[in-house]
Amino acid sequence: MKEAPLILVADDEPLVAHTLVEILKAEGFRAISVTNGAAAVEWAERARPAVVICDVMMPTLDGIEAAKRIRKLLPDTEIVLFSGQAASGSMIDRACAEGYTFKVLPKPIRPDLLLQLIREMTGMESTK
Amino acid sequence: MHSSFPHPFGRNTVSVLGGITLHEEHENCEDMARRRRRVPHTDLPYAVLVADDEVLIRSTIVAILKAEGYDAVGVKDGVAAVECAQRLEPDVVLADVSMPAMNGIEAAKRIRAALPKTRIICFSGHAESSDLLVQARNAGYHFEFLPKPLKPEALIEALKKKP
Repeated sequence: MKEAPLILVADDEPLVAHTLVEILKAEGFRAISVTNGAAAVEWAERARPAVVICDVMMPTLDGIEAAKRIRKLLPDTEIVLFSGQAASGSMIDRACAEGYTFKVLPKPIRPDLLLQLIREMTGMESTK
Repeated sequence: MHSSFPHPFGRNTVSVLGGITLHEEHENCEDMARRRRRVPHTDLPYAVLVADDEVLIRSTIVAILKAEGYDAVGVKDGVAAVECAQRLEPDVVLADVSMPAMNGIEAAKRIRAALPKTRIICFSGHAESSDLLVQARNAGYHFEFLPKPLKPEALIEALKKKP
């Protein structure tokens, strides 16, 4: 039996990271979470997830920088960035100008839209 | 004041934080206020109003509080927080500072004016939000503060502690 896609969640708000992991697991995915950008890069390299969900504003290493490094390490991994503040929008614009393309979703997070996007990215059908 | 999303968690419930169940739809403010009016006040657990625009945070806090024996309800912005507070007359309001429609500090000021005995705890992770809190303090408003990221144990400790 084929293993479920692995999703890596990076958000410095543990309530968000933990709850997203549980939602993803309830939907049949495998999921792990980290709470900063440096850990996101480290765990992406180690676990090779199908999708990385990454908040832009994070300590240690911001989500954009983490996403750039993950893209270099794992070109086939899908990356979804969450942007809630004006500053994070500017950071994403700068990354786009450098030639990076990431899927961006607005904050507050809409779990239903996120799940739909991840299903599309992974080809995983709804368990409902 | 229902959740803004019809199916935010994709299914009815999700188990979070060591077995606490996160419900797709919590009881709304109106229903909770009505239910509490039917019971003598002395028999009621503390009512906590949680205001946060991030549904994952709001729902998880409400679930944690309920698991700890509190009566809790969540709203998604400052305007809804003021409306719900007037209807529910909660013992405690937990408000994120950074929210749409009306920020948490402005909502806290209005709730304080309407319900002077209600305890108000603001939480924030942004520098500009801290500035808003300082401005409110300089204007004579004293709200308790919790830093973000929120830790469930710190939240419960703050609630148990006397203001």
